[in-house]
Amino acid sequence: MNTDVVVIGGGPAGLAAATTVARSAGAGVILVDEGAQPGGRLRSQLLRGDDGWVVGADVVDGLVREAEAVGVRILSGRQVWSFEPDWDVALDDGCTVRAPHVVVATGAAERPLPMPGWTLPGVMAVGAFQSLLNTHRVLPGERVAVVGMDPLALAIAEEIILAGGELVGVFLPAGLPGQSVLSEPRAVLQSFAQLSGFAPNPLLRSGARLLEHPLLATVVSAGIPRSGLRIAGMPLRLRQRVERIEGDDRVRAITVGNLDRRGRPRGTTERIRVDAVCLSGGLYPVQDLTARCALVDVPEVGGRVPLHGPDLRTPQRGLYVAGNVTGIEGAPVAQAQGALAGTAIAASMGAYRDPEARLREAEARVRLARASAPLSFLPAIEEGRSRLAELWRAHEAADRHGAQVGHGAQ
Amino acid sequence: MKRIEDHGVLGPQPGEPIRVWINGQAAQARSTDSVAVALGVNGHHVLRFSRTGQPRGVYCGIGHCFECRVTVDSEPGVRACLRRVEHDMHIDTESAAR
Repeated sequence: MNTDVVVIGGGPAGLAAATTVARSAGAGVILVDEGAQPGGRLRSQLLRGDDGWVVGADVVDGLVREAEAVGVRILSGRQVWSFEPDWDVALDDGCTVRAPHVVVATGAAERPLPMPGWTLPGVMAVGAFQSLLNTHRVLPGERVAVVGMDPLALAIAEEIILAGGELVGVFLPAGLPGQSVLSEPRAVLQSFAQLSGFAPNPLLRSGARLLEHPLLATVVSAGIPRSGLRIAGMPLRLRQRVERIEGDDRVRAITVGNLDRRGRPRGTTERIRVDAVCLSGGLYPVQDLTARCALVDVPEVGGRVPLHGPDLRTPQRGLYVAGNVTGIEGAPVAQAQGALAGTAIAASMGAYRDPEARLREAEARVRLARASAPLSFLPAIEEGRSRLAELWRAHEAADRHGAQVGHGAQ
Repeated sequence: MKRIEDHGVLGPQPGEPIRVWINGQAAQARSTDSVAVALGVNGHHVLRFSRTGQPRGVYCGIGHCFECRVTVDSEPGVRACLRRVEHDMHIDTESAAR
């Protein structure tokens, strides 16, 4: 099978890339997605808008309609197993699609948060909870504990309550040596204060108003209240850390270790009955398909990501990246990145009379989406993006140097 | 797992009632369910066992962890979280073999 562009991943980044290049360049586009329906994680998200909830599925359905209207062919329930220059994309049925351009938009996955009992049925990651609650409208359990305290954990806690579930609390994990997840109450409060100062997410902003002055000050001077703190209605159980999850053929309880008002273990435990547990260990960019790209490790964007330029090209000709595979951010940023990658490919195909202006405009839209992001996952994302830009400039400089050396030798 | 009959933001249940077969028994699902949901609402939480015999169910819910593998219409190793149900689909979990 031959086409102009293969897009891998049908979330907001992949859909926007596909639509943009199909519309601008009249390109043939095949989009491959392993979900039963395209949309990626956005399909299961509820976003806080200025005027209430924005339903991710509605946004996604709009993006899918736009893609189909410009002739994008969407292959759902299909996997890409590998691809090689430039470019043969191998699908799960043994079929190969050949195209001069590939966009990798494989998104993010969750870091595991292992602890004793975490493999019991009924213990699930945030993504599973999002799908169950918001796509399938099913309560994973009647009494639920959320473990891990980060923006995603607060969001799912709110969605559990919204769906009518009983939330026994949002807990810290006891933490294991080397685990990157925060397990110190004050470190968590400080991270929330940083995040909310950085991006005005309504959920965190309301928390920040509480935290910035009286409560954080109280916590520092008088210690953590016995019942923990409430942020936007979410009970943060800052005096209890989850040490293990218990059950037989499924989860039945969590055992928490009590902390004193300063956040130090008191050496006593308590057993809390639950029938579902949601673990939030944070997100990382999925590099299942990019192992042979030049990857750079930038913790500020969430880990290892492909080296890429301001227009989302990689050093390999015709290979582009977009969305969370380049760093952990929200759906609006991913969508703007997809449009940028699509614009860059259309420009390389000669679709525009003013390609530079089009690219600058698409890049500006990514920056705008970032600046107005309702939810920031990583506090230093801007620094991380700057670091990636520097790495690209260094790569280009080395490339030019290499080319000059090459000429000299001839 | 329990269905949310009327979600505060999203409204009533999507899809239509359909019949599936779970470990040989007729069961009710909805046309928009994933296989994982059809199993969960019918009380099947243990989908398979680890090599050391520990029970396993849905974990990541997005196709990454492969913990929720079941047999669908004789096709083994199907990720229950990704596959959508169909009328008269036959779903078999490993626990049935025990």
